[in-house]
Amino acid sequence: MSAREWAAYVLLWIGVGIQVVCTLGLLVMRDALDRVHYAGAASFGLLLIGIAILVRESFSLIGDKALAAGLVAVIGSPVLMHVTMRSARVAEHGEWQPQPEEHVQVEQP
Amino acid sequence: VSSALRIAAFWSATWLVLGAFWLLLVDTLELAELLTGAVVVTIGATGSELVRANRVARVRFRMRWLLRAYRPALMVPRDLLVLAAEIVRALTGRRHPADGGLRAMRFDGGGNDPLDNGRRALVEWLGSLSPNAFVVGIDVERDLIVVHQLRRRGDPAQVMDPLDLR
Repeated sequence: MSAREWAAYVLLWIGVGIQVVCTLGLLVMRDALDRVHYAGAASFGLLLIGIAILVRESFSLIGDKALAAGLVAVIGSPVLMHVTMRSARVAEHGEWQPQPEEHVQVEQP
Repeated sequence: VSSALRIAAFWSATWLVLGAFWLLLVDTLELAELLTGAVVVTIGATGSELVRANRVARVRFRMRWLLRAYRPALMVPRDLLVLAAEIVRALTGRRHPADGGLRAMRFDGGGNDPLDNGRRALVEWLGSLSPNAFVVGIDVERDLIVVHQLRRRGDPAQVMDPLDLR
């Protein structure tokens, strides 16, 4: 196996590993907001799988698409997760701001 | 007239960028793909211009802010390990609800000018890149940034404002 194929396999399995961790996290975590962290992290698995395809196929129809899919996921995921988390808090508390009963202290930078 | 020209210029620029992206994706000059691309790109450019022309929120960024984008990216590998560790802790019964949750820190919310809009948008976007922490919001009335962490850890400034824009 060439170094290029090795690199593709390593990237692929790290990417798949991240996806497995994220899926497990969604199943294991009980709190909806905790689950959002795993849903967001899955985009990095997708990016690594896309890079693995790019390494194997080089810049081509399939390689470009794989990379574009990964980049779009990583760039868009933080926005999606931020909005999801904010919406979940608004649905639960009526506003996203911390509630008095949550005892959130303002930390100093 | 200048407004119409401006709209036409932005629409054309968006059309060209989207068109180039389409060609990159399809990697062919077949007529059917070009025609499909032209329709899709026209819809995309028109939608983009409708949003931009409405001026829902004007945003501007300083280049030095964008150059700090690598900071949250550097936190990603460590945070992925944190996420994996939390699964192990949950499965072995060592994870408690209080291990994660909301954190808040002073953050100058600013006003409604394009630079302040851009600063808040950048913090909410890139501050939510690393998977252990997501920015829930910036409270402009109380000058607070609120972040949710799966595992409460790290220096508040580094976690809640990795771009140092407070």
